[in-house]
Amino acid sequence: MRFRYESRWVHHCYVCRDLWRHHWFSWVHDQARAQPVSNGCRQGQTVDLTPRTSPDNAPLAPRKRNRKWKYVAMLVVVVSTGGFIVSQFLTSAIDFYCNVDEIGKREGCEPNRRLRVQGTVEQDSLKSDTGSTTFVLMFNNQTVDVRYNGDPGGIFQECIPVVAHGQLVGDTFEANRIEVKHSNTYSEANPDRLAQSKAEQCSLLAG
Amino acid sequence: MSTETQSFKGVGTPTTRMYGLMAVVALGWVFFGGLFFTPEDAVQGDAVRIMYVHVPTAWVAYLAFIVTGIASACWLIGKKHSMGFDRVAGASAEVGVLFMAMTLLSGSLWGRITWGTFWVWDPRLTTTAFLFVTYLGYLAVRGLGGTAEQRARRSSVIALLAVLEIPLVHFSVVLWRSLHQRATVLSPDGDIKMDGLMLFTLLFGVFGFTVLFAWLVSHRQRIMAMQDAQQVTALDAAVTERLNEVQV
Repeated sequence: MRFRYESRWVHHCYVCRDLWRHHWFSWVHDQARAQPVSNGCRQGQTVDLTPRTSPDNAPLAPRKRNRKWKYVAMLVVVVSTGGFIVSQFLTSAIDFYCNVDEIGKREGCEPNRRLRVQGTVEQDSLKSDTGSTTFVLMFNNQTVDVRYNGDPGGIFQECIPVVAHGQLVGDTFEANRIEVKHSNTYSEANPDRLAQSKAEQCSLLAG
Repeated sequence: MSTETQSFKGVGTPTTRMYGLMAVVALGWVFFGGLFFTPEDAVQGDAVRIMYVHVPTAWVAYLAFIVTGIASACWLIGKKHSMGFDRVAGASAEVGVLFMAMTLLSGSLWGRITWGTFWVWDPRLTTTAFLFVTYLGYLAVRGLGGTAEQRARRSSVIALLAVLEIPLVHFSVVLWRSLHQRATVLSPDGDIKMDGLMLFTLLFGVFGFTVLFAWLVSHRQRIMAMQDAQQVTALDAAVTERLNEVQV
């Protein structure tokens, strides 16, 4: 016997037929066919199918309602969380995202406002003392001095791209948050090549 | 034993067992290869090993949501409105949410080690979180009640809208300035800047998580089929009982 949707080609190929008949689409179809669909009504006979509200069936109703309210509550939480995510994103976007060479040149990157400044930590510029970290941030051959109170954390090091959050005070960018970017290049750590690749990376990332 | 009882004996088939076996083998390699055989990254060190879980789970979550979208479209467009499509859509969304949660969790840990923070309101992270929440909402809507057809109709419309978020998430690193790095394997210039063994393990991870997804979805949608069938059977039993009362 051929199954529904089973082509003649599939039917005559033993392996194909076996795969098809065990395939889940076919399985679901078979399940649907296996379900008893009984009516049982004689012609002209009417049956009252109104849900019962007798004490026997009473416990079922609250349980069903609770299940529904569980999903309604979940939906409320989901919508609130979605609103929170969007509001947080928009709030953080108030600090304009600028490259070092865009400070004071691009609209939104005015020096007198809070900014997120992106650039690469220049080689041999990193200094840490008495809980403060200073370095030079570079992009497209333009530099800015950065001071951060604390240890930036992560894989912060020289020749790595970072994003500094803060404001320009005089000639120094006073950062209150440092985020370390990493490139989309993944290469094996090799101590012999490390110094060379670091210098190459530094000049490459500096734009 | 009746045919009906036999057919509900279990939800496994040779095909699903094959999926399961392939997933175990592939993920076994990802576990051992990722932890012991692949090299450290020159910049990130051992933290790069998180990538073998983070990237595949993200890709498979995208795949799951795309499958949900396609199955929902098939349900809406199809003349017969086969409930099989609706069940595949629901099962795929459930598994997709699971994988997306794994992506967010592993990404957060990776971010703490490399960026120095668990979370930033960056375009990629924010859109991913929003995608996750959207599909949680999709699952909540599926559970709101009503008939199976009502459930399928409202959830398929949501799925078709939600799937539009995926390009936004994927290209967010290109559209906006982002802390998250750009794509390595699917980079537009076609130059994959990744060590050979790292790339092999990553692609094996993608394969392993994909067959795991297929295995989970095929089982989950069958369980859903059984739940739907159980409701039909219960209704049939109730109608028969009422008929018997009338006849008596």
